[in-house]
Formats: sequence, C-alpha cells, structure tokens
Amino acid sequence: MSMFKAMDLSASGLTAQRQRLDVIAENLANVNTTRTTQGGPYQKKSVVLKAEPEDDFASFLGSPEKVEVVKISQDAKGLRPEFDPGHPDADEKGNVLYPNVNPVSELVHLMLASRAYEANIAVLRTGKSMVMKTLEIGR
Amino acid sequence: MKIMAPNPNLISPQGAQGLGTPAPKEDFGNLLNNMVGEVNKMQQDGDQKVTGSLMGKEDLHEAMLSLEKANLGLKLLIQVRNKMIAAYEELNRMPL
Amino acid sequence: MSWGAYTDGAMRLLEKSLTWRTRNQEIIAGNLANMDTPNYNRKEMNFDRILNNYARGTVQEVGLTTSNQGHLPGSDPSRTLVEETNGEVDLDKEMVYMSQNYLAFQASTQMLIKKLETLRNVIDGGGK
Repeated sequence: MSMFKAMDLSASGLTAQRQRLDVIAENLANVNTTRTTQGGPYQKKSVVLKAEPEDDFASFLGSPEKVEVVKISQDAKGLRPEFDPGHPDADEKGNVLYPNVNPVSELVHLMLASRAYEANIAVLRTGKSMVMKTLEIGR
Repeated sequence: MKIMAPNPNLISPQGAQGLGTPAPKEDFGNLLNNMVGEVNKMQQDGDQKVTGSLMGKEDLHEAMLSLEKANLGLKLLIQVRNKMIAAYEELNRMPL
Repeated sequence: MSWGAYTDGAMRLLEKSLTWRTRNQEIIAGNLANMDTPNYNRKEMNFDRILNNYARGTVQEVGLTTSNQGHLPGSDPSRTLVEETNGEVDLDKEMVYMSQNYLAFQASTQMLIKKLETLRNVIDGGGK
C-alpha cells in the first residue's frame, strides 16, 4: 500500500546510515590494529551506497528511490609505515604498517551519518503525522 | 370560528404577496429568501478562497475564515428555517 | 440529485492537492534516504508548474506509472509531476521542503474537512 512507501524509503535510509555508523565505529576501534586475521594491518572500511527503485515495475522517472548498501569496501591505500624495530609486527626493515584510519575524518563522517540518520527519522515521523491527519477526514 | 389559512409567506418565501397579512410576517419571507442568497454567496466565496489559497494566490487564513463563515451562515439559516417551521406548526395547533 | 458539492472545483482541487502532497512526501523521503549516495540526483515536484498546468487544464501524470507500462519513457516531460534535477541533496533544504509540504498537506486536509462539514450540516440540518 502506497502510504507505507515513504516509510520503506526512510527505513532503507536508516539501515544504510546505521551500517555506516557501524563501519565508522569499527574503523575507530581499529585505528591502531597492526595485525588482522587476513594478515597485515587493519584496512579502513567504508560503505558503498546505491539508489534503487522501490519496486521492479516502477518507471524510470518519477519514482522515488530507496538506498542500499551495495557492499562494504576496504581501502588499502595510505597505510602508514612507522619505524619501530622492536614491534612484533615489524618487517625486515623495522617498519610497522599502521591502518589508514584518520580519526578526525572518521569523526566527521560519524556526525554526518548521525545527522542523516536523524533526518530519516524526521521523515518517518512526518509521514506518520500525515497519515494520522488523513484519518481525521473520516471523523 | 375562522380557520387560519396557512401563511403563504412562511411556506414559500417567494409568495410575499401580502394576502392581508401583517407587515412582520412579510419580512420573514424576505428574510429567508435573502439569507439563502447570502449563504449561497458565502459558500461560493469560500470555494474561491480555497482554490485561491491552494494556488498560492490567497492567504490560508482567508480561506479558513471564509469556510467557517459559510458554515456558520448555513447553520444559522437552517436554525431560522427550523424555528419558522416550528412556529408555523404551533400556530396550526392553536384551537380557534 | 445533484452531487455538485462533491465534484465542484474546490473539492476536486483539494483532493488532487492531497494526492500531490503525499507523492511529494515520498519523493522527499527518497531524497533524504539517498543524501549520501554518490551521483544521486535529487528529485522534486515543482508545485508552481503543477498548479499552473492544473489551472490551464493540462492533464498530468505521476511519472509514467499511472498508465500502461507499454508507454516508453520520454513522453512529454512537461506533463509529468516528478522531475529529476541535476542537483545533490542538501539536508537542510530538504528538511525545509518537507516542513512546507507537511504544512500544505495539513492546510488542504483541514479545508477538506471544513467543506465536508458543510455537507454534513445540510444533511443533519433538520435535527434540532
């Protein structure tokens, strides 16, 4: 039923931002992790978002789209080497490779994700108010 | 004993022919007629203001006020009509 | 019996207005869900254009979903309700659009309720 369509769209937004928040939390927790199960230091993760039409037979124009997390990608660029020969994970040159997580930028993303999450909540609330208002017509 | 004929002014407002009826009753006939006209105008005004406000040309409060005035005018008209009918029925019941 | 009161201009416009505002809420919801999606173009409903078209009596469609799916995209774009812009989503502006839309929706609903009240008065009028 179409009155729930707006809610589905917002729900997709909430899910996407929540996953983004989770990824940021993981990044920040692992800012100094030099060893992972894959070997090598922790690599910064990020969500890849894509807009999807709501239903399969929706037209190309004029139909609102929901958001989906396509995948969680890892970025291997920018790993920071530090010279620390005593460190258990140091390589032959005595360098330890640290993750490419920048805490400041992660915190900025955290705030953005949080704002986006709240915005989607506001949309949900407004949609609900509209439905409640419509019901007054029958009273 | 004179049987009171129904007052044509109370039944059909248009019939304000003055069949020897005293002046106040003739006013009622016109009163109802005028009220109907006015209420009709208020309804149309309300509609115009609604359309205007949806188009962005009129202010919302004007539309809401004219709708409310039209409603009240209609309610008043209905009450007047009801009272007149009640009065007529009461007159009819009077034993003479 | 004349059902003129149900089909008069103001009632019809009010009903349409409610439909449009509901669609707009969906569009805004989609925009805000995708505010961080790369390369997403925000969609909108241009009410100036929609109302002008209505006043001129031009029929409008909601995208292409109303009529048969056999219709190809690319039919007259000026007749569709929802437009795809080339812009990104600005959270603050979008929130303002949502508030405006909601208020317009409430205004239309309230006026509709008032008009229905008029009809009810006529129907119940003999009561007291």
